[in-house]
Amino acid sequence: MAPKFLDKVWNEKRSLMLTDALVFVIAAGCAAACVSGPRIVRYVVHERPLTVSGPAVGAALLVIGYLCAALAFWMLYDLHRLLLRLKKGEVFVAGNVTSLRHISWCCALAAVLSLLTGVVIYPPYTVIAVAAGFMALIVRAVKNAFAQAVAMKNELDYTV
Amino acid sequence: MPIVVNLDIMMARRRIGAGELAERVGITPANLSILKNNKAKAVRFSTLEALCKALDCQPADLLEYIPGGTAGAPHP
Repeated sequence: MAPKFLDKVWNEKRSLMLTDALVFVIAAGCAAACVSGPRIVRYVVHERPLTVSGPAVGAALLVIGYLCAALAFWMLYDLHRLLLRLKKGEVFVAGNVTSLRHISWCCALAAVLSLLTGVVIYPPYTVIAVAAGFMALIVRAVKNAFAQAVAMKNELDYTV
Repeated sequence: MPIVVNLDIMMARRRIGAGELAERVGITPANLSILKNNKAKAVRFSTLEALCKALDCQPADLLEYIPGGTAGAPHP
């Protein structure tokens, strides 16, 4: 009974809408983090055990934080465009491969930034680096699968 | 692709239009156009058979291999 009821209430379109809505929520969260960036950095510098200390540490953390935020916005923008195409029924198209490649690069760059921060300033950041690195790998694999699917679709489209 | 489809030549020889040929072969005019303009990446044997039947010719009359040729539009 429950699955049938769920089928009526829940479908592919609503799932995409929910994902897109979450993208906007996360973007709003990122914007809020950007606005309160200096406050967060002050808290980290004064309350958390950092590997190094000095006046430049706070500024470095702030710059790295804003760079990560820029990557997050870029990633969310590409994710939003990907979802828009999926909503239109465009699944195996070159645009989706490009979006996935951008998302993968964003994750990889965020992983590098987090790793540097983790090694030099604040060790718990390495956990974020590992997570972002894994995410980059997974998205890259999905991107490669999409690229092959696009090539296969093109071949099929041009088979008479 | 070094394989060239000489469909337009055979169509001119048989004096048959694209619309009529598409109807006889059972493919859409759009697909016939892809074939005619050398944009096709593959041809099904069933399509080739229907073309040969409709144009009363052999596959070799329709397909030509040009070594090192780059006939056809670049793939999208």
